[in-house]
Amino acid sequence: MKNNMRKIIFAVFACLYALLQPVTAQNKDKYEEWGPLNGKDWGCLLRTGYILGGTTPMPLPAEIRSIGQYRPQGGFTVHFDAYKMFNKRYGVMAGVHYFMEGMFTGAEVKNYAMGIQMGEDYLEGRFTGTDETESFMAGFTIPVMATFRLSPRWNMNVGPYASFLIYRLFEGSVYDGYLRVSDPTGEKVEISKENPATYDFSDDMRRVLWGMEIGFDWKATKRLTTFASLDWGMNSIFKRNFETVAFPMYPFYATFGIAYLLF
Amino acid sequence: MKNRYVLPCLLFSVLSVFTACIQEEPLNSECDIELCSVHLSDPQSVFFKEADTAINVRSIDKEIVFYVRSNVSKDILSAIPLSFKLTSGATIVPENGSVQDFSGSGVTYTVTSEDKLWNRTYQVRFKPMPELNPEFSFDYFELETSRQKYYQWFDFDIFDQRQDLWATGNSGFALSRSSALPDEYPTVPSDTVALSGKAVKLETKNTGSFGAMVKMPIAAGNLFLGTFDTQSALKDPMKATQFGVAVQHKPLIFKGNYKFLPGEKFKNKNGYVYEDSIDAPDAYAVFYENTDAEGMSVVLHGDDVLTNEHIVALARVPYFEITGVTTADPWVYFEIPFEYKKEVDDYKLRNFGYNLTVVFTSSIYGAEFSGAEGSTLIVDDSEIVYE
Repeated sequence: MKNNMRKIIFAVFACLYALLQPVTAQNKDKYEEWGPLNGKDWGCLLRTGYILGGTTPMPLPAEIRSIGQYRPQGGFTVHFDAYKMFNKRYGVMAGVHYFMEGMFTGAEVKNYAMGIQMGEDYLEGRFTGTDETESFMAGFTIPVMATFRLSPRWNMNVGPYASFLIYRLFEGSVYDGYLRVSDPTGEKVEISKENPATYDFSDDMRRVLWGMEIGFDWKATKRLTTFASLDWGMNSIFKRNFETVAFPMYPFYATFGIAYLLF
Repeated sequence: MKNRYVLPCLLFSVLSVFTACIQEEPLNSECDIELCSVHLSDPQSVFFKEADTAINVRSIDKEIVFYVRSNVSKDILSAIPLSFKLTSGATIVPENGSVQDFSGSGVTYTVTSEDKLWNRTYQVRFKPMPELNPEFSFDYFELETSRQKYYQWFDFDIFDQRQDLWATGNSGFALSRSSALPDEYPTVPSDTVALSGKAVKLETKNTGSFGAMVKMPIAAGNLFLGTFDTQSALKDPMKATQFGVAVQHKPLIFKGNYKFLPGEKFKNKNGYVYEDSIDAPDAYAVFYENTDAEGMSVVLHGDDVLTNEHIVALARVPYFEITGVTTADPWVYFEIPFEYKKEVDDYKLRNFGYNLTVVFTSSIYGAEFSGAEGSTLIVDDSEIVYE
C-alpha cells in the first residue's frame, strides 16, 4: 500500500513538474506544430478503445479473502470529444462516450454479510465460500474535463463525468460454502455448486452514475493519437436504499485506444 | 523528459492499488460445538453402544443430550470428562476435557468465537434412553422456540417425560418462505378435522421464489420419527431427513387413520406438468439395525429409507383413497402388518440396537420435489403395536 502511495505521489509531482516547465522558444514551435490543425484553437476527436475494469468495493473489505477469477466482459467504447484551447497549453474538453463494459469475478469470501429479497421473502446471513459476480453496463458518459498539454505530444485530461445507463446487469451466485442464517451463530445451511443460490440485483442499480475521469493522450502523428483513460466511479452503482450488498460498489474502468483528429 | 513516464507510472500505481488490497484475514466469528464426546474406560457400562459416546452437534442445537442406560449410578454421572471439537479458534467454558457433574440437570457450556464478538450457550445433559410412546395422538405441539415460526411435535412417555422424537421439514421451508405464517407451513396441526384431540395436517406447498431458485419448487408436508438436518437441506436434501429413533421392542402392526385429497397439477421439479398423473401421499414404518458389523451407527435417509440393507421389517400403506379433507369427509382406517426380512436379535433389541421410524408425507415423490401443490393428508391416532 505504502509503496503504491509513493508511486502515485511521484506521478503527481511528475505531472506538476511538466506543467510548470518554462515554454522555451524551441518548445513553442513544437507546441504549435503538434497543436490543433490549421492554427485553430479547437478540434474534434473520434476515439475508440477497449475498456477493462470492474465494479468493486473500495477498498476491498476484509471479508473478501481472494479473487480467483477475473474476466473483463464487453469492453468496447466510442467517444466523440471536442476541445477548445484557451492558450497553447490549457483548454477544456467535453464529449459523448458510448460504452459497453463489464466483468466476471469469482471471489472467496469469509463471513460475508448478505441478504436476498425475493418477493416478500427475505433471507439474510453470513456466507463463507465462493461468490461469483457478473456485472455489465452499457450507456453514455458525458465528461467535462480540463485538458493540459504536458508536452507537445502529451496531453492530460481530468474532470468529472456523468454516466447514463441504458443496460444494467448485476447478477451472480454463491456456492461451495455455507450460510449462517441471520448472524454467525445462526443455523448453518450448506450450499453446493450443483445447487447454487443465485441473485440478480440488476434492477437495484442506479441509472445515473458519476465520477472522475483522468486520461492521457499521446500524439503518434498529427491526426492519430493513442490514449489511456480511467473512469473512477464516485457513487455506488446501487440505489441508496439497497442494503443487500453491505458496502458501496464503485465502477472502476480503464480504456485503452486510439483517437483520430477529425478537424 | 520525465513526463514520458507519467502515463505508465500512474496506470501502474492505480492498478496495483486496485489489486493489492486483500486485507488480513478476519478472525472467526463462529462459535459452535461441532462434536461432543465422552471418553470412559468402560463405555458399555454407561452407554448402550459405542456410537452413543459421540454426538455430532447440529448448528441449531442448544441442547446436547447423551442417552445412557437407566441404571447408571449417580457416582459415575457426577464425574464425566467431556471433550469438544469447536469452531477453529473458539474457546469454551468450562474447559474442554474437564470433568463435570452431570448427575443433576446438566451443565451449561459457553463457547466464545475467536474474534470474541459472538458466543453461544449449550446445555449438556445425560438422560436415560427414552422409550418411544408407540401411540401417536399428534395432540402435543408447540411453536419452535427460538423464532416462533413453525410448529414442531412432541409426546410423553409412560412416565410423563416429554420426548422430542418427531421431526418435520418445516425448518427447511422456513429458509425459503421467511414471510410464511405458522399455519402456512407444510406440516401444521389440524384443529377442526381430527378424530380425537388434534390431528396433523400435511400439505404440499409452493416454496416461492427461493425454492424455485434452488430447484426445490415444492415442499411436501411430512412428519417422521427422527431428525431433520437443515444444514444439508439445500446441498443434499435426501440427507436432511434422518429417519429413526432407537427402540427396545419388536413392532408388529402399523395402524392409523387418514383423509386425503390430491392437489390439482402434478409437476416434477422442473415444473413439467404430468396431465394424467394424480398425486398420492405415503405412510410407512421401517424397523432397522442401527449399527453395522463394525459397530458404526447406521441412519436411514431420504434416498434409502425403503431400500437400505439394514432394514429388518417394513409396513407401508399400499394404497390411499381420495376422501376429501373436510370434517364431513370420512376417515380411512389402516392396519398394516410389518413384513420381516431378517431375524431379530433379542440381545441387540434389549440394547437399543434397532431403530424404528414412522413416516407420513403428503406427496409420495416429495423427496424429489415432484408432486401436486395442495395435496393434503390428514393423519390422526396412529399406533405401532409391539410384540
